[in-house]
Amino acid sequence: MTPFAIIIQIAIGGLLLGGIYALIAFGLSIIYGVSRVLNLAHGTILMVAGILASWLFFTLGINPVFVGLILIPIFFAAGAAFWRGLIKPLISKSRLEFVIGSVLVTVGIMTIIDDVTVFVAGPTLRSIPSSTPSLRIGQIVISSNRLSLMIVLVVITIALHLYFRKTFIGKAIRAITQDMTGAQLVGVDISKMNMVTFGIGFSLVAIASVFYDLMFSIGAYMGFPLTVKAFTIVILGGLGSLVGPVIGGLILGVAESFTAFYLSAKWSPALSVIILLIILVLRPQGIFGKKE
Amino acid sequence: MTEKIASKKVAIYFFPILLAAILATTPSFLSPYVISVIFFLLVHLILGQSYDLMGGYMGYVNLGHYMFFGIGAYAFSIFLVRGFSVATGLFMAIFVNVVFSAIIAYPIFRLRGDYFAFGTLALIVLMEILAFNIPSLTRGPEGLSLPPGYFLYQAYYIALAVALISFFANYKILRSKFGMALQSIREDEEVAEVMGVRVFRYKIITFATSASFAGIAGGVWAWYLSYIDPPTVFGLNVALIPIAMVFFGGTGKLIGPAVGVLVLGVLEQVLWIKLTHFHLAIYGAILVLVGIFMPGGLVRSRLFRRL
Repeated sequence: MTPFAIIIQIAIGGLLLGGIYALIAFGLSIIYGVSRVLNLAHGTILMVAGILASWLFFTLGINPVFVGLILIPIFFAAGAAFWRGLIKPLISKSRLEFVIGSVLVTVGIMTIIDDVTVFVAGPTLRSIPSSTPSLRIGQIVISSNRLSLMIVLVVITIALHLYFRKTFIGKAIRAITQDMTGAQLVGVDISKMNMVTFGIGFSLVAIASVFYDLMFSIGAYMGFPLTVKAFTIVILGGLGSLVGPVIGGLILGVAESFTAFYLSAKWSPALSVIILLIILVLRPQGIFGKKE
Repeated sequence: MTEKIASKKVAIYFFPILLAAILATTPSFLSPYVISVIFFLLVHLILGQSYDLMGGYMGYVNLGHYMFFGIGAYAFSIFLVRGFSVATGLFMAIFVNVVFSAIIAYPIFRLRGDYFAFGTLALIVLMEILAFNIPSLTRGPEGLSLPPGYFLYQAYYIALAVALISFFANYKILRSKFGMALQSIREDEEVAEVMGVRVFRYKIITFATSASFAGIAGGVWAWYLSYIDPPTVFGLNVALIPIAMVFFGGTGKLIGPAVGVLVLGVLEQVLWIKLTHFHLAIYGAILVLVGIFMPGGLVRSRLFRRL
């Protein structure tokens, strides 16, 4: 394989990984933007979704696409219920109590989910195996599985982009992220929007988990490191930007893939933090952020 | 009026010293297991109080506070393994942390509020990875084994002394000009700067101070355990525990961390003993309930005021 072909190969893998990161980070970003909650349990939700996805795949024997379609409404409802039951009681409290309360609640939920999952599902890693033929484009070998994943990712990204540009809910979410009071003044129902945003965030995570299962594997306790990575992507991409986390996720995915290949795989998890620190020194508001 | 203030001042000094004196005598009649539990509580008290210096008084929630603990543990262990004395080890635990916090302050304080909280959390992940991947220094995943010896009691007394010192340090700072500056930063940083508070200076000093205490805690903990590896001292699953304890007890209040550490620490031990499964889940459930119903912490709740 020519060096060029290798680079393309790695880049494709990196974009796929980055796409997964982008979905996770985007969900986290809108959840934070709308509810101002630090959702420390975000990665853990992915972990649960991933294990559930793997289980569904093996018990029902259906195409991963359908697994995803089953998970989306489940997790949407879970997200809405999460906000309604656990966060809503906090909004009447002071700012300090809100932050502390949301940290305690999300850390608590994370601990509960981790513990219960380990008990129910055991410590074995789960995944969705796929054996598909490989295609050759010139010198590049790509499994048709990866190719279809990439296409689906692109479709989802375009769909999200259109959703947030054209629909009322999408615009409402952007409005709340920019100015909560202003949004309320023009008639946005904050309670409903919070539930919807959490729902969307959780659904995106569920979709990402299916991808994750297809490409890697999921196990208990993997959630929190992913949450931290997602947050670094959000900071990297820029405060208050909706495009930021997506681009940040893609950049990180590609960077991690190249680092894993040219340097060594053990350093790639550190990459997100190192890039973050560098960006903070050079451009503190993130790539697409606006100075607050 | 002056009698009330005077008596409160006496109480603040009297009770902790009395308690410390009592705890100092306990090793002679309590089992090593109980002593190790108290030791655990003391270490977490140091962690909690040093966290609250920045988190509660200055308003910068350092979710990655535990990294100073880990760095202290490793600094101590690395020097001990190479034959230096315990005193040197503890000194290095402080020194390395001061240097590290001074350097990392420059990029990390570009973040504010919630973003600062997550930036610091990311730092702890970085520390764990560094600990894994620099085996020449840290022996990587196989961990560092300290020279053999059982040092529970010595570590216990050092922890007791440091816990007492950090408690009084927090008390003094809270009531001093330094403390007022910190609280002004918490309330409104821009206004503080305009009023002449050299904000960045205070941030760095507080950062380094809280790092130092956490570092000593890490050093004595490593001394007691005689073996450390990256997940033990940088693991995300334990990293938030001291902070959760402070939140539970009440952040920003002098006795908040103490109350939180005591209640949650004892609770964790009881759950660990009594339940085979789900003790962490119950622990998590308690955190959730406190988060919803008493987010200001135990110290601020109506329950507490009735005591």
